[in-house]
Parts: sequence; structure tokens; C-alpha cells
Amino acid sequence: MTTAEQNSDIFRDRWPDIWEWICDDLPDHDVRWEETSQAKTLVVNGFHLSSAYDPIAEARTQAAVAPPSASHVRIIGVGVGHLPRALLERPSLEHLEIIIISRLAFYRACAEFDQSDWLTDPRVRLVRGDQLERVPWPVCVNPSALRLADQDCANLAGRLYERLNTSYTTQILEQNPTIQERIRTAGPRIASAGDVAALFGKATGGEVIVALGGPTLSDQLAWLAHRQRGGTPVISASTAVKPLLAAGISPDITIAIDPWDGPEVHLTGTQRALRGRPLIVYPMVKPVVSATWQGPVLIAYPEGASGGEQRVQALASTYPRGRLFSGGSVAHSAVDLARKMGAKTIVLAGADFSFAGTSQSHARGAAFAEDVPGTATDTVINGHGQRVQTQANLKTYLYALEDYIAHHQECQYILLDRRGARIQGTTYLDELEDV
Amino acid sequence: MSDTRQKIIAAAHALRRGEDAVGAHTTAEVIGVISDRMASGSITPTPQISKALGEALSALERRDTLWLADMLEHEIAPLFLHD
Repeated sequence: MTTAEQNSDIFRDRWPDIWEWICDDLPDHDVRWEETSQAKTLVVNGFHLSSAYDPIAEARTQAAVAPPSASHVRIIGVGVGHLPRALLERPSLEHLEIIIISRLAFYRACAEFDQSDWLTDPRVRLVRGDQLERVPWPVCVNPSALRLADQDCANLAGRLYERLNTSYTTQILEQNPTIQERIRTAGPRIASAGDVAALFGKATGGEVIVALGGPTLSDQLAWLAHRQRGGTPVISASTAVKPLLAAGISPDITIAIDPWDGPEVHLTGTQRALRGRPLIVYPMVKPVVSATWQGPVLIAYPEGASGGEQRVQALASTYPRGRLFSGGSVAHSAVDLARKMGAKTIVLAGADFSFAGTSQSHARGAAFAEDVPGTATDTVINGHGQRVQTQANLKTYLYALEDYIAHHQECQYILLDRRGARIQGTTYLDELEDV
Repeated sequence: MSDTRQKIIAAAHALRRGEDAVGAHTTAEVIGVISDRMASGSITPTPQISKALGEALSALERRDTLWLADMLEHEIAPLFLHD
């Protein structure tokens, strides 16, 4: 009996339905061996399933994410089988839940390596990743499974990736000396500016449009103009201001949160056209942005995953202002503003969190809009069920928005274009009859 | 263990746990350090080093993080054994 047959016999005995699911219609794939003087591994579609030097030490590194005394541990990806072994060595372990998000990686590991020792361990339980929306933390991860995730597990894989990497990116931002200095000296600027809370409750029960800078915005401008003429207020991310103005749409409210050069570039030359209209900024936005604005500047503090920084909290206690949710993108703050204005319906335009199957990074006319090379390795599923290219940070923002929407079901969220990333909790305009 | 070697191995371990952000950041730093040392003559650019660097850069670009971790930990970190 071959190794593959031995493993599949155990599967058929213990988890026949899951084995059928794993083997059902596996996609075409490339597979090769990578061998060094110390060990060997499989490379599936260009991704090594484990270390080719010391896969046992690697598995122990991955297993160390779970506390040594944990009785119940979850893992994503088995590599070539050493990760479950590393955990099952622990006498305190009572349950090992293996969540399969890449049928392909799992199948190849079982086809080429003897897994019978841990497959027959009564503490092991297998779980289909496509039946989960969230994975409780902590979880030990073999990253090859994230890379090779099935299409219907892509969202779960993306969320895990976000969770694994958010703290580091936040830390980088919080340690940046320029931004720290800007926050340290923000007091007088905040004192002379208004409060975003003045806008809260100003659109109670109505519809608000949130315009973002994704490439599909370019094809939604006529609809937006029509809607605005009908009285729907438009909140624009700074990125989207130039494309909107070029189409004759003057956003009612502009919002900028990026501490880098973005807002300054986005808004240069737009100030006169938007004279008298409010601009909302976070205290860490470059001071020149508010200094050159020709209308009221309203301060908001970030609230949420990216907003826990201590200096900002100290400022907020001295200069109280309203807060807007921050998940790393202006999209979050703009949507939270719409909700806090009292909107019942929030229409999202240009909210693509991807290149939306186009060759453009942003809407036409937006600052920093450029051709994308078409070689991005990150993808998301769009509203047509197709994989479209994106960037890792955009996926992070997407998941943060989905979590936000899940917690704020009092509003209806409408997406205008199916070419961008599907956003859980939203409805497509073309599904509605009365909008 | 030298600081540089320790840093490289820490980055490799982060990559193995799926923490790409820290891993990629350190990889970029390490490649800069090696380039500087090659330029100053303190590291001799052997074919083995060039191959490991090439593999690491390619793995970084393809996001084949376990292979990148292997290159960092098993091929590049030993260069800094006596750092």
C-alpha cells in the first residue's frame, strides 16, 4: 500500500465527507520537490509547503504561537505534517483542530508524506475552512496554506493575514518620529479648528454617498451627480476629490486622514472650488492641508484598531472632539461619519479595495493614479465571483470595513459596482429596485 | 550570536509564523547590509552568496515566505557568524 493510499484509508474511515470535499475537483497545479542536504519539501504552485532545511524546527516555531499549557489548539495548514506532530507531542493537549483552507496543499501533503501517526490520533479534529467566517485567536499558521487558499476560503485567509501583520504595521506608524512630533504639537491647531461632532445627526434617516478613489469611481460619476442633484450629500475621501470635481460634483464634505503626503497632493488646486465646505482631518495629517483649506476645518480623532495611540488619547482629553472609526483607510472614517450623521443608507462609490479588474490603481484623475503591472500576487473575490488583483494593505482595509459593517447593521450599505472586491454586509445597487 | 545574525533569524521565524510584514522589512534591511559589506570588501561575493541573495529576493517578490525564511536562516545568517 502506498503512503497516499494509507492516508486516504484513514480519511475514509474517520472523515469520509471531508476527504470527498478535499479531493473533489482539485484545480490544476504544478508540483515539484525541493531538496537540500538536510531535508526535502514539496513546492506547490511555486510555494514551499515547509522548510527544505529543517521542517521540524520550523513546525516548532509555528507551534510556539499556542501557549505551552493550552489544551485546545487550532492550526491552519499542516505543511508536510510536522506542525500537527509538534503540537501533539504536548501532553497537555486535548484537542487539535486542523482547519483546512487549502485543499490543494492538504491533498499534496497527504499524497506524498506519511501522515498516519497524527491522522489516527483521537485528539485531532478536521474542520472545513469554507464553513467558517472567523477563526478564534490564537491559531498556529503554516503560511503556505494562506498563499494556496481555496477561492472560497480566500476571505478567511485574508483575515488571518491581516491579524498576523496588523500589529507590526501599526507599530511602524506609531514609532515614526515625524508623526509623533506632529501629534505632539497639534494642540494649537486643534484648538483653532472645529469639531467633527458638529456634523453628527445632520442626515438623520437619509441617504449619504461615500466616494472613495477606487478605479470604478470613474464609471459612477454620472449616477453620483444625478443623486447629488436630488439632495443626497456626498462625503469624499481626499483621493476622490479631483475625479469628482472634474465631473462637476463638488463634495459636500471632504475627509483626509493619511499622515503622509497623500492629502496634500490630493487636494492641491481643489481648495477654491470647495470654498466654504468642511474638511475633516485627523490631528496627524500634515498641517499644510488644513492651513490651505478655504472652509471650516473639523478635527476628528481616530477610534478603533489604528487609533489607540497614547499621544492621541492625551490630546483628546485636553481638546475633546468627535471620533471616527479608523481601520487604516479613509474609507472607514468616511463610512463612520455617514453613520454618525444619521444616514440610514450609505452608498459606497469607488469602494473597490482592489484594481477591480482594470489596469488602473485609482479612479481616473486621482493623484497617484497609475497603471498596475498585472502581476500582483494578492487577490480578492469581486461581485461577479471572479478573482481580481489587489494589494495586501487593501485587503486589510476591506476586512476592517466588513467587521465594521457587521457591528453596525442599523444602516444599509449599498455598493455601486460589482467589479471591485465583494464587501460582506453590503447590497449591490443592481439588486435593489427602489434606489 | 551577533546582533545581525540574531535579527536575521528572528525575521526568518516571523516569516515562518506568517508575519510577513516584519519579515519583509528585515529582509530589505539585511540585503542592504550585505550589499554594503560586499562593497566594503568585508564580505566576499561568492557564487553561493549571490545565489542565496537572488533566491531570497525572488522568494520575497513571489511571497514564497518559507523559502525566503530558509534562505535567510540557513544561507545568509551564517555569513554573520563572527560578526
